Parts: sequence; C-alpha cells; structure tokens
Amino acid sequence: MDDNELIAESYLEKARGIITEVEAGNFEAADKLVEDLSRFRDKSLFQELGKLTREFHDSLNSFRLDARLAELTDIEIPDARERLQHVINMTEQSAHKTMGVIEDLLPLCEDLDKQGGDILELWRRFMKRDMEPQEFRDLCKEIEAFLGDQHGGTVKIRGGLNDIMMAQDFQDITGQIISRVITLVSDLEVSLVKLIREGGAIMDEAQAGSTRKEQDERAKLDGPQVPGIDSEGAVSGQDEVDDLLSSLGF
Amino acid sequence: MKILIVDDFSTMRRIIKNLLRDLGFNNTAEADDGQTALPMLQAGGYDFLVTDWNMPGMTGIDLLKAVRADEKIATLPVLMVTAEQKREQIVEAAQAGVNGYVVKPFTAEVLREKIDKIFERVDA
Repeated sequence: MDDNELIAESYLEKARGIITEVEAGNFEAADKLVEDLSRFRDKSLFQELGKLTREFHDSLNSFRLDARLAELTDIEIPDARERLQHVINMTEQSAHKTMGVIEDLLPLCEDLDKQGGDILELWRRFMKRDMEPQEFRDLCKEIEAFLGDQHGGTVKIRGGLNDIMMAQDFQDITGQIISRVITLVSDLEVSLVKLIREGGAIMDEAQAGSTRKEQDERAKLDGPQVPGIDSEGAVSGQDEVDDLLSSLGF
Repeated sequence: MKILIVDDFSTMRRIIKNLLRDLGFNNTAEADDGQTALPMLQAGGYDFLVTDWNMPGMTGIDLLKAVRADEKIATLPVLMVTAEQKREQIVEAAQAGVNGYVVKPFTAEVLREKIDKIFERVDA
C-alpha cells in the first residue's frame, strides 16, 4: 500500500465515522472527527511541502554543479587553451633567444681561437730563436692586438652567457601555468564524474570505441614520451630504435 | 649538398639547421609541413631530407611515402627526426623506406652518426 492509498484510507475511515456519528445524532463526536480530518489534511499538506522543498534543494544543488561545469567549459577550458598556447610561445621565444646568442658568439670564438693559434705558432718559433728581429716586432704588435680582441671578446661572451641564462626564466612561469591547467583538468574530471553519477548515465563502451575511431590520424600519434607515464608499445630511446631497425635489416 | 629540414616547430628547425652547419652542411632550406615541403623537393636540387613525423597538413610519414612514389625524387635519402617512439610507427617508417630514424630529444652526436651512416650507405 503506497502513501496515497494510506491517505485515501484515512480520509474514508474518518468520512464514514462522520456519517455514522451524524446519523446517530452525536454531533459533538462528528465535529471532533471533522476537526481531525482538517488537521490530517494540514499534516499531509506540510509533508508534501517538505518533499517539494527537499526536491527544490536537490535541484538547486545539481544546478550549482551544472553551473560549475558551465563555468569550466565556457571560461576555464578556453582560458587554459590560451594559457597553454602562451607556454608554447614563451618556450619558443626562449629557444630562439638562446640560439640567437649562440649564433652571434660562435663566430667570435672561432676568430679568437684562430688568432690565438697563429700567435702560439709564432711564439714557439721565437722561443726556439727561429725569428728575425723585424718578425718579432710584428709579433709583439699582433700579441697586443690579440689581447685587446680577447678582452673585448670575453666581455661579449660573458654578456651572451648571461643572456642565455636569463632566457631560461620562462621555466618558472610555464611551470606554474601548467600546474594550474593540471588542477583545472582534475576539477573537470571530478565535476564530470559527479554529473554522470547524478544523471545515472552509463558509459556505453561500444559508443566510446566508435568515438575513438573518429579521431584524426594526427591525434592517434603518441607524441613525446612523458617520464613516469608508460606508453604501450613505445621504445625507451635511440638505442632501442636502432635495435628495432637493425632487426628489420637496417 | 642541399638539405631540406621539415618540422612544424621553428625552434626544432633552427636546432637541426645549427647542428647540420656544425657538421659542415651550410646549404639548408626549411619547410613547416609536408604540403609545403613536397613541391620544394619536386622542384629539384635537394640531396637530403630531414623530417618530423607529427605535423599539421601533411605528416612526415605521408611526405616520405609521397617522395618514394615520385620517381624523380624516389631515391632521396630521408632521415626522420621525431618524438614518436611506438614500435609500430618505427616499423611503418622502415617499410615506407626511411633511411634513418632519430627520436627526440636527441644529441648532436646521434644526428651526426645517423647522417654519416646514411651517406656511407648511399655512397656504397
């Protein structure tokens, strides 16, 4: 017997009681029964109201959950996409800056190396007393010019090394950005799991499989291997690549 | 010796370009995916191709297959430099006719070694 049947039964019982008492002429008892009946009606009204309030509260809660999901998808995911794009840009800039300095400094190093080598050769001849006085005078001038070049060059190299060091400052910022995106992804996961639980949705394995197949060819690629995350069927480095290729006759 | 470097990341192209210059190869050109690279190769004048795998437009493996299918450039030596490390992918590249396979991150030594090996074989 459900709630409604119980209520109907009580109403009927009381209504029959009223008829019986009125027919018997017991108006006082009939009045009391009418009062009971109205009290009973108030009670079930309050119960119904309570139920509605609970439902409303639950709806509000699930709405809040949906609002969090909406916030995640509307604001935070696009935001995260931008932040990750920013990470790409920053790391790209840093790599270019570093390589720019290296490209500037390498010719300078090669030049100093060559000058030093030439002077060393002449100096060794001088030490063996295999040198004319005029040649020695020229050597002295070369040495003086070289020392000047070397001093200037060293200052430049030191500046460049500092620039390279400073170009690594992206790591701190990109590390923070990536950490925040990791947190966001975790939040999204929690919200989705809650939503699935609340909605009672059941993940259809077959459906999941077909969605996976729809991914484009590029997305199927694994990309760089991340330490600590095992990827099935991946080699662990160049040595294994070489072994595999030589087993194929390379 | 003219070399075409194909990678969607400009920094990686720059690293490879600098490493190749260090190895004595000064004549290099760059492309950011297979679609841009293929007409450059078909126009002729290239002796060696260094390509990434995962690129938008046309991937490195499709570029390799297109090169091998075009009789004018079918014998061009190709070195794959990629972060893809799945066995099945390495086997696929080998079957498509790649001459060398280097996984990222790589060292200058590894690149030098693979290039030397490719030219030893090509010259033999």
